Amino acid sequence: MINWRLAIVIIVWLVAGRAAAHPASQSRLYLSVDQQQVGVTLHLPADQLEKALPDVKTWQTLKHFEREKFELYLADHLQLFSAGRALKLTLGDTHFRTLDDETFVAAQLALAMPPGETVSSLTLYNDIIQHYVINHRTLVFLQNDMALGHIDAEPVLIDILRYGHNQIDIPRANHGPWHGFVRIIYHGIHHILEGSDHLAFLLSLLMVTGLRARRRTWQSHPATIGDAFRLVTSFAIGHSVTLAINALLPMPDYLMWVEAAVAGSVLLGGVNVLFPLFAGRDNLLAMLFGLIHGMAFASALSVDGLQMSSQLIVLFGFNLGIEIIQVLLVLMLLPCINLWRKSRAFTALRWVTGLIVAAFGALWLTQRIAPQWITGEHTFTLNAGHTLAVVAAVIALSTVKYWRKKQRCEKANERSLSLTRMPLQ
Amino acid sequence: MTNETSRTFTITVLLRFFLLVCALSVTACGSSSDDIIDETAASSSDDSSDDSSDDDSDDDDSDSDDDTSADESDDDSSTEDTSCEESGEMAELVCSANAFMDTLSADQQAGLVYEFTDSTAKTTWSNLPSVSRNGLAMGDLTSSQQEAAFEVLQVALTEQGMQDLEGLLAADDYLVEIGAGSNQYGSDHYYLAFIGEPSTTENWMLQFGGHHMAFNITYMAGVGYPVPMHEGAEPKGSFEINSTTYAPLVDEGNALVAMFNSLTADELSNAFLYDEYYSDVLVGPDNGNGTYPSSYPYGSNRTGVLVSELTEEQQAYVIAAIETWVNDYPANVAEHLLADYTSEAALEDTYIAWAGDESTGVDVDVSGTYMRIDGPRLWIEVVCQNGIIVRNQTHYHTVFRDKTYDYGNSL
Repeated sequence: MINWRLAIVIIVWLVAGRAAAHPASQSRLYLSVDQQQVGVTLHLPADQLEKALPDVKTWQTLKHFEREKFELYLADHLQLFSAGRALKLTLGDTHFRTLDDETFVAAQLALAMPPGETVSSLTLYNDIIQHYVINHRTLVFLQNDMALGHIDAEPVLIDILRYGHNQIDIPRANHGPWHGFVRIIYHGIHHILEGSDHLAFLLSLLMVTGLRARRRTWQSHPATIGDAFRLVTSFAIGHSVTLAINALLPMPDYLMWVEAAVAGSVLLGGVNVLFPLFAGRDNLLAMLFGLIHGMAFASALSVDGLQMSSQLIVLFGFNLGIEIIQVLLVLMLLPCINLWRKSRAFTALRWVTGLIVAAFGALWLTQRIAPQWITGEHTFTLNAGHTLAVVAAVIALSTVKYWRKKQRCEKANERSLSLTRMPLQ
Repeated sequence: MTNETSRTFTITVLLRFFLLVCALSVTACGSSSDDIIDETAASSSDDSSDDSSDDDSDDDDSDSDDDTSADESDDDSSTEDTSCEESGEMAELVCSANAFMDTLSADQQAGLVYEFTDSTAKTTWSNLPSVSRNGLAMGDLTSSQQEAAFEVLQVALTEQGMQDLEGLLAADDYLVEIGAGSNQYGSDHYYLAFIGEPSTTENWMLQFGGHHMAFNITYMAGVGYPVPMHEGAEPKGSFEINSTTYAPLVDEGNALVAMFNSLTADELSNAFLYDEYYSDVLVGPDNGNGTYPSSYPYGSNRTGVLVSELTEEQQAYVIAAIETWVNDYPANVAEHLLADYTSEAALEDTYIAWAGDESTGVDVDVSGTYMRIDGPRLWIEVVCQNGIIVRNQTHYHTVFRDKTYDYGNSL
């Protein structure tokens, strides 16, 4: 109940933020709950902050923060308690930043538990700006929570702090030490199942892996587990490298180009199924395009405000989820593909699959480069459930084919048996 | 506005025309002039009629009597018809609302009316331009539909209220004229919605709003609660557009300034909110959160000067200021509220307070100047912010709420 109301409120606020440089905009506070500390990212509208803390005006002119003074102010007006213990605030990176034509003070804080203690329940008290600017409001978001395995790129609105409502309990639950990690793996699983473009690319690789090209066309040849293993490993190495780089290091915002490049790889993958463009070099291809796909994966999670050790755990778990699904899909689909490769229908099937993959690649590419050419909100992707349904359908069809073939063979055997027996009668 | 649909679907035109004729001749709620803005400015007075009195009744005291009409004609709902008007203002309002609905297609009707139980819809309003609003945009209506829509508003408001409404619409058109984007600003971007079916006996709510405007009038068995109500004006002073001069919130602002000017130096200092700064109203838009606001000051946080401790003359200024909001509405809305807000008991618990720069005093040209009336139920705030489009002057944000009867206490 509360959640959808909050959702509406946040939508209105987000739209409102974009509407115009209207005065009296809100502060935003993002929490990243870790094992021994809580990272806090603050976005404070400079024109409101300078009412409450006039020094800000000078700092803005000089482009220099008196860090000690600012840290004292923040410590006075922002407090976190875990099981009654106050966390100690340290001011990190602080700078002026323009968001939607409005100047904000962006500050990164770490609030640490006493040594050796871990974060349990959490109570937040915050009246930054609001202690003086009575109408001021602060949107509180949960960015990450290691114990909950909450690492989505999209922060969740918890509450809105305002006059007379400056203290809230941060909802937390203790599900045991592995819960967070399992959720992170699940996040990876979910992400790859929703990533139709990644899966389409993977399918295009699988269709032709181990095939030899002769006279500009593919020669049918069943793939071995070894072929598939090399292929998937190459792809995994590629995307792991860029996923780690993008998640851990500050990177410019080039998401649109990454998404377009992913679509481009799908298009090329589809064409490669039709005509052998990269025959014999499919492992190299998988690794190169893996680099691009890794950048796209990085956009699905956020490790801001977490300690380095936690960031590595998040990356490992998320990647593990992606690999689990990739390996499972390969193990399930490869026997099916091999089965069809033995039949005369394979060339037709290869053409149909290649055309479909290439068509979607082209569609996504257009949508991501020139969104104005494709009207409507449709992303032309499958959700996790539909993806699984498609995989199940492929397996079912292949099983039917396998069963029929077996029957036919048995009949043929019987016939040949009876034929061989005939002379004896 | 555009007649494109009419051009393409001649049948629709004929049907609509037929309905319009019906509406005008049979129920005859619509007045038949063409330009909405000029029409209402010119109309006023004449028949004005009794209405008021009758129903309202129930809830708290008030018992209506008749128009004690604090000042100026509270309700002259300017109509040229007769049939609706005789049966009282609520019947007339419902009649005009139905006449408006008759001008709409089935799709439009579906987009206009919400369930009365829909608290999200009731609380969906904002001061901002270009946020999602309920109902039908004025810019999407044909001119005859627009006329019928304004007919509804004209019955729902007094001349004083209608002047605010038209002035605020004109202010937004003025902002477009001086360079604001017409995709966000301008009188096309104002929305009319009914929460519940218009009825003289059942509960329903009339919403009209857009940038700097939110009329939310909830009718509980015919008794109206026009709260929460938001008005903002940029520019805050008078301005001219299409050779008409408007000054939508000058009355409200001046009435509050006059109220503070009537105080002695000591009283003014007592009314000052030290260590408090307001860059906007405190209890602003509900943004569809489906709940009553919870951020009113309470207990010892309610400060300022008690109205009951003022002289009768000073009190008259307070009441006059309250009337600049409450008398935007006809008797079935205004009378019971005015009686409640200005009763002896209420004034004993009503504070007036201001914030801003104590050295400049109550100066609406200074950004951050803030004025409020805080009663046991009544809550009026006015804040002066720097202009967004008109950069060289401040502009008003105001809110009028009832701590108990926002949305008719129906959420």
